[in-house]
Amino acid sequence: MNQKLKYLLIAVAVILIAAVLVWKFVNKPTTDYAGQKPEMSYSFAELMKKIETDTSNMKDKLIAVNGNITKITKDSNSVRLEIGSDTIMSSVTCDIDARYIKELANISEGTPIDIKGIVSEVTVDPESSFGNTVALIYCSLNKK
Amino acid sequence: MKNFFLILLLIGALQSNAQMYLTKTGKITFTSKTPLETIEGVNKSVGSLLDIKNGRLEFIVQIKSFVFDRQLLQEHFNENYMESNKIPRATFKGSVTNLAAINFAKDGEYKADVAGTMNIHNVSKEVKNTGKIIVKGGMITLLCDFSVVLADYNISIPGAVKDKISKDVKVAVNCVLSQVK
Repeated sequence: MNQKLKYLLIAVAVILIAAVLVWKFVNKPTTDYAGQKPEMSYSFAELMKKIETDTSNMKDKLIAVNGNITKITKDSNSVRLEIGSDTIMSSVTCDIDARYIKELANISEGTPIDIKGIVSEVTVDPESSFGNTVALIYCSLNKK
Repeated sequence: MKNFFLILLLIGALQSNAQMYLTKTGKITFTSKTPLETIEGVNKSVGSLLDIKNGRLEFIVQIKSFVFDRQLLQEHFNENYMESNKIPRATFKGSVTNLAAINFAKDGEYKADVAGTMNIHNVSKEVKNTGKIIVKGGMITLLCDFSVVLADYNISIPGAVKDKISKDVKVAVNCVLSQVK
């Protein structure tokens, strides 16, 4: 009887551990990149120059960009901004990670920023009305 | 004489920009709701352009810019459903068809009828919809809600999760456009 009870308890424990592991795997939050070091760092001008000739090895990489904020768009639960120049359409778009919106409460257009994020897309089309664009997601301040 | 033509060209270019409104940080949210699970993805890097002179309207949606609250959802969305490495963007190219009913010089809310070609997952379809245009303080906000039937765009859902993902997802568009300088 004791032996059976022992096996039963072991089986229950194994099932419970497996259930917790599966739950954790399924509900794992998206990666927090704020504590990670960017693979590459660019000024806005350097990045725009680079993508004109070479967009390889950029997608899905964590990069840092510094430049002037040209536009901030805020709503109830999100902040996104553009880094660029008033003289060209090309820009870097940054979707701020919801976990770090508070850090950026005092940003304003026209001021410099050093930000990092995952490259979700690079669009090079100088003929398009949108200009060239590097889109970053999960952005946070690049603290050195 | 040469300078005169250059000035004319410059004035023409400035005038054509004056009627263009654009954003690269528009927002599109999609929601799949079933009794078992609600899934929401948000893309805040949507490109949108409106020419208020002729009603030309464009949206460019980079699929990889959709963000989810769970890592697994993000991976499945990109790898299994939208195949974002192969098909990186969705687009809409069309126009506002009731342009005369919208006064872009006066702040207000206007009903906007839109028609054009939507391309998702490399499948193009002619679509018509009604949304809202808000003109306020020199900015134009585009708002629109519609449904997308996944099968219409060859997006297949594996049998194992078919009860967790709706066959038609709700899409909400919210883009704030500013004038191109």
